[in-house]
This record gives sequence, C-alpha cells and structure tokens, in this order.
Amino acid sequence: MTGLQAPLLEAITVTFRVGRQVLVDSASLSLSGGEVLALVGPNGAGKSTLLHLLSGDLTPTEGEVHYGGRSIRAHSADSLALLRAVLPQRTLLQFAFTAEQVVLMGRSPHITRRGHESSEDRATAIAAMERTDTTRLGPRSFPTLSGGESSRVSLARVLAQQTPVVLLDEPTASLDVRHQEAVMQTAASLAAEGCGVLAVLHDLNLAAAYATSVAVMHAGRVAACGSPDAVLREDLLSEVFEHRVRVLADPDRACPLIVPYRPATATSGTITNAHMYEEV
Amino acid sequence: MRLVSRPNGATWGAWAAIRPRVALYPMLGGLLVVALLLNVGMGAVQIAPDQVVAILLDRLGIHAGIDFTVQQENVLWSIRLPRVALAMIVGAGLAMSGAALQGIFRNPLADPGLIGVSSGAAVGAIALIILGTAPLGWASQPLAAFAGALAITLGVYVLSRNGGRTEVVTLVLTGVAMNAIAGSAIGLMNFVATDAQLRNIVFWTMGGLGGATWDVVLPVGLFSCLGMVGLWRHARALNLLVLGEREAYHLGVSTERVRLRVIAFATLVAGCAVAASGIVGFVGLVVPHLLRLIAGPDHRTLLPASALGGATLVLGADLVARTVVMPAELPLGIVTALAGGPYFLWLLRRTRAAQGGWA
Repeated sequence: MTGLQAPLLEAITVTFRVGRQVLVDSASLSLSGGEVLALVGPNGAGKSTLLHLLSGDLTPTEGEVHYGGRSIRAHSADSLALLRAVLPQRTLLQFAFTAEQVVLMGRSPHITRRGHESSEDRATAIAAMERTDTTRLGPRSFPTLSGGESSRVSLARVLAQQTPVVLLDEPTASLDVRHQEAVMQTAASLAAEGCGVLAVLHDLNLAAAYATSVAVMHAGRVAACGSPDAVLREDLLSEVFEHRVRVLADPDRACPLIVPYRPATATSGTITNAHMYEEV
Repeated sequence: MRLVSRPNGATWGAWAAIRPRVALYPMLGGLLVVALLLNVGMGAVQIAPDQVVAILLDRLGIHAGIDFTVQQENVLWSIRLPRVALAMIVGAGLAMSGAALQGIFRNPLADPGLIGVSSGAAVGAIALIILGTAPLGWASQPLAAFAGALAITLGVYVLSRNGGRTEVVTLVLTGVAMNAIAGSAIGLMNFVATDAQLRNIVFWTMGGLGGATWDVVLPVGLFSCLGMVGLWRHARALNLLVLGEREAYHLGVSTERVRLRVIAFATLVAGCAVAASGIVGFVGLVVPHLLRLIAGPDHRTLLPASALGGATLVLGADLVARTVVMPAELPLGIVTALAGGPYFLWLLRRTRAAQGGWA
C-alpha cells in the first residue's frame, strides 16, 4: 500500500549456470504493484531463463528471488501459487480437456485440498474467459485449438488464478494484431488493479506502448532497466540487437516507435545475396 | 468465422459436461451388476439370480423361500464369490493404475504392462516362490510383487526422463528394455527352480483367477483398496500434471512428491493384481482410454469410472475364459490380450491419422 512496502517480486543479483555456461549473470529486478515490466532482448539473451528463475521453475546458482520480501525458498508450492501465476510460451496437452476445464484449473490454488470448484470459482473462470475473448471456445477440446486460441485460453487460466504477480512468457507470440493489443491491454488493466505484471516480449513496440518500465537483457545481463523512454534508445537497442534501429515518436501517443533500419535497396540486395549463395 | 468454427463443437461440449454425472455411474454400475450376476450364476453348476440372492440372504439368517441345493450354496460361497471378488479387484486395480500412470506420464500409452509393472511384479512373486518362504505371512506375495513392480517401474521412469520430460518413444523403448531384463531374471529363476517350484511358477505365470480363495482375496483386496484410495486422492493433482509439469507447479502442486506417490500407489495396485492373478494385459490401457472418450479426461471422474469399468471388463473376460471351452478353462490373460491387442492397434492407427503419431 505504501512506498515503504517490499516489492511484490524481487530478483537480487541472480545468476544461473549450466556447466560453464552462464545463462543469467547477476541480474537484479524488482516488480511492484501497478507495474508492467517488459523484459526484452535478442534471442538467447536469457529472458526466458530469468522468467523461470523468477517463477521458481529453476533455482538460481547464486542470488535470491524474493516474493513479498521473503525468499522463494521459504514458500511452499501451494503458497507460491497464491502469489504468482505464469503464462508459459505454450501448453501441450495430450488429453481432451475442454478450454473451460483448463481455465477452471487456474482456480486450483484456491480450492481446499480435496474439494471441487465452487460456483464462485466458476464465475471467476467465466469472467476470465470473457476478459480474454475466449468464451466462445469454452466447450472446445483444448488440443484442437490453434496456437493463438490456446495461448488466450492459457491467459484466461492465469487470470483465473487471481495472483498479485503475473509472469507472462511471450504472451503475444502467436497472436494476431487485435489479440496482441487486447492481451497487452489486459496486462495494463491488471496493473491498474494493483498487480505486478512481468512480460517477456519480442515486439519492442508493444513494450514501448504498454510497459511502465522496460528491462533490456543482453548476454545474460540486465543491460538497462527503466522507463520506456529512457531505455528504448537507438544507440542501446542497435548495440544489443546488433541491428541498427530507429526510434521515432508515435504520432498518436507519447511513446517511442521502434523501426528496424531498412536501407532503400535492401530488398533487391537480399535477393542478389541469396542468388550468390545458390551459385556457390 | 462461422465457416471455420466447428459446427458441432458447442453441443458436444455441453453434452460432455452433463453426461458423466447423469449417465456414467448408473451405466457402469448396471453393467457391473449384470456381469456379476452372470459370473456368479454361470458355469458347471448353474445358479439363477434369485437363488444367488436367496443364498446370500440365507447366510444372514433370512429365509427368502426360494429353493437352492447345498451344492449350489457351496459352489457360490467357496468358488464363485471369491473368484468374482478377485476379478473385480484385479480389473479395478489394473484399470485405475493405468489411468493414473497415463496421467503421470502425460500420454495415453502408459499401460502398467508397458512400463514394467507386470514383469516387475512377476519377478517379485517368482522370487518368493523360489525362496520358498513367506516372511510376512499372508502379506508376503502382494508385497513381494509390489517391491518388484516398484523397482522396475522406477527404473523405467528414471531412465526415460530427461530434463523433466518423458518422451513417449523413449518411454516405450525403456519399457521394452526393462521388460527384457525382468524377463531374463524370470528365466534365470525358472532355470534354478526345482520341479515343484516350476509347476507353481508356470501355474502362476499363466494367469487366471482359478486359484481364488478368500485367503488370497482378502489381503490382495486390502492393499489394492488402500492404493486405489491413495490414487483417487491425487485426482485433482493428476489433472494439473496433465497440463504440464511446470504448469502444475505454478498451480501449487509439489510435482516431484505427487509423482512419486502416484507411481507408488499405482504400482501397489497393479502389483497386487499381478500377484493374485498373474499377467492380465491391456486392461490398464483399454479401459481408461474408452472411458476418456465417454466421460472426458478429468481424473476425478476417470479414476473411479475406470475402476468400475475395469472390474466389469475382467468379469466379462473371466466369464468367457470359464465358459467358452467348458469344462476346461482358458487363461484369462489370453482372453484380455485377444480383445485388447486389436483395440490397441486400432488406437495406434487412429491416433496416427489424427495427429501424425506420437512424437
């Protein structure tokens, strides 16, 4: 409630090694209520690994992850499930649970040990499905859903869990433009309700438009963290992504607009290159 | 939008949501009762359903006024009833443990036989015959089978896991290898067995419920029921595990602990069945699969429904085994394999057509 309270989620110089390889290198982050923190960076920068460390899937080699000021190690699996929900990159299901049943599973942490879902749980699940535009998919078998549909149903499951911290691993990856915007608006509205939302994003413009803060990861490190305006700079992004980008001003709202630099002759040049490779 | 959406999707789903509660249990219960009455009544000595009721009431001191002979009473009480009780224990146990293992391994192929429960239980039970001891009295045979089954199943589980995942192909191949190892252990024990022991082993390995007496049924039933209750208590956690291991953990399941418990309970239940009846294949594969088609994949329904369905299936199979070549008897395992094998092949082809096979 006050600024003195510990952040909802905090990573304190977290390092994760597999053998000699350092996947995450002394990364520090903090997430407070009302915040949408976008985690961006090139492929293999360690974004997903960091998310797994934050969610408790992986245990850091060094450093600590704290929920509400207490180490994640001090939380049991079920108490942690009341604190954070996780949207995985994708959910593979071999058995024909309906979308509705999958969303209801999000209520599990709130159900007493052997009980069944209450009518309140059902109402929460239905509301979550309305919020993610998946009501229509309710009776469909989850394994028959398309990538975009199943990721929205999974998001509904995450919403149904009603946790203060929400971790989203590429929530917009397989969605069309309309649903990308809808998902990010949902994330923003969750934050407005007091949740802390952390999202791994590939689309820098979604980060620019919806995040309250942005963390750029590069080679396992958090290269920069701050407000979108402060972090999404041409020099920083061009260096991190090893591709020149231009940062313009969005004509409709006060946020940066990131465009990869494409020289005028790029198209013909690419074809020529491909042709050359074929001959070799 | 309309054109690409499945027109019957909504009605099917609504139907599926209502159907289990309305019709499933009465249907399964009715089938079970029919199978029970047929099994109890048919055979060399025929006993009509009303006579069955009369004999049972007579035991309770109530005389129903329906005639029956002493021979009928003895056959019913000493031969038929323990046999149907054992058939139900074996069927319920194999089907329920199959359903639970399929949930744990997240694929519909994980039959107790495939992952080594049956051969492991056989190793345990045969070792006991060879050693010629029963250190724990009446509990020895079920516990020895359980220990053997647990050892082999944990071996398959540990060896087929990689980075928290179990691929189907690895699982099946590991099962094949572990079954082969168990098979060679059984062969070795046969080799060193005396003639009398060998006869016991062969009799046991052939399977069947012919040896059912109350002395066998009660301990096996006790352990089996314990295991089944244990499995049922994990039904909700199994649903979440089917969603994915990480997803289950995110939803509050202590995945490693739940997985080990479920494997232990499933192995206890299937091990008991194998200890009592020898190797009865395909029940654990076919029954949960059929019921998943009818009742959906929710383990809170699937596990008890599988127990009922498995009990009914084994009763039916035993009826066939007892009556087809009367007065001789077919081994039960042959009957279930004869029915289950083709079903399994059909399942493979159907799945392959639907999703290009299991990866």
